[in-house]
Amino acid sequence: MTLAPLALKDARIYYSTLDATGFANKISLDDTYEDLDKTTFGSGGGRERVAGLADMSAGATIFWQAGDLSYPDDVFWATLGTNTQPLTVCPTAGTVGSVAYLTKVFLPSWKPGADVGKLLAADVTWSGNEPLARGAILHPQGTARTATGNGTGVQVGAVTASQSLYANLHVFSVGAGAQSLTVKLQSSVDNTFGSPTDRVTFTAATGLTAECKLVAGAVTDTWWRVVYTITGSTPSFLFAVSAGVA
Amino acid sequence: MTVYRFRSDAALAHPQSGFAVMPAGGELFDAGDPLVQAYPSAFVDAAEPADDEAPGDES
Repeated sequence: MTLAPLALKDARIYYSTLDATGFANKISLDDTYEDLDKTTFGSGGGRERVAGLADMSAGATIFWQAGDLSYPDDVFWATLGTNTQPLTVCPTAGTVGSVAYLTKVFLPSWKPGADVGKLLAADVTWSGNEPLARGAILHPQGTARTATGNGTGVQVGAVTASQSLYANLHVFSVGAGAQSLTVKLQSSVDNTFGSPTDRVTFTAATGLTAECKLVAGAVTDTWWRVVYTITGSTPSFLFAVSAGVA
Repeated sequence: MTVYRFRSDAALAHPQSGFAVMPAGGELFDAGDPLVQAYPSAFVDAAEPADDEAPGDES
C-alpha cells in the first residue's frame, strides 16, 4: 500500500439545487456517535463504553452570490429552516464511482457577512436529519442528458435488514421549454443488469429540484444504477445522484 | 475535449474510490475522467465506430 495523500482541490459540494463547488473554499464533515459509559463494578477496573445516537454535521464557507436557484443566496434563503434537502460531498471530482458522503440535512441558519472591502461569504453549518452514508456517485453532475438512458452501474454494496440505502438527487440545470426528468434507482445481482429490480423512483423533475430517497433493507443485490427517463421538447438536464448504505 | 466510449465487458475498479463500476453501453467519458486515465485500453475514442459496428466485422 502506497501513501497517496489527497490535496483537496476539486471537492464537490451539492446542496439542494446548488452545486456549491464553484462557490465554496472550505468543507468539513463531522459524523459522531454519542459515547455512553456503561462501566460497572464488574468492569474489571476499566471503563466500558457503548455507542449511543449517531449525529452528523457539515460545514462550508461559501461566497455570496444571488440569481436563481442555482446560486447560494437563493438556495440557502429558500431552504432556511427546512430539514428535507439533500447534501452530497465528494472529496474528489464527482465522476461516476467517486466516493460520496450523503445525507438529508436541516439548515438552521444563513449568515452572510464580511468586513468592508472583503469578499462577502457565509460560514454554513448543516445538521443531519438522516444517518450520514458513505457511498458513491451514481450519476455525475457534469454530463448533460438529453434523452432517456441507463447510467453506469456501481457496486455500492448490499443492504442489511438493519440498514437502508440512501440516495440523493440534485437537479442543477434544466433546459428551456417544457420537459421532464424521472430518475429511478435499480439494483442487480451482478454488473450485467440482466434482470434489474426497480427500487425507488424520484419525483419527476420539471425544474430545478432536489430530493432524498431511501431503500429499506434487506437488499442482497450489490450493484446499483440510475435509469433516467426524459421527455419534452429539446430537453437537457444536468443532475447528480449519489447513493450509500448506512 | 476528447470523449471516450467504454468498450470492455468487464467491470473496473474506480482508481480513487475502489468501487467496482460498469459503464453503461454508449456512455461517454471525458479524457480527464479517472476511469479513462486509469484504464485507457478499456475505452475507445467516441468518434470511432464501435467494434460491433465496424464495417466487415462479422464476429
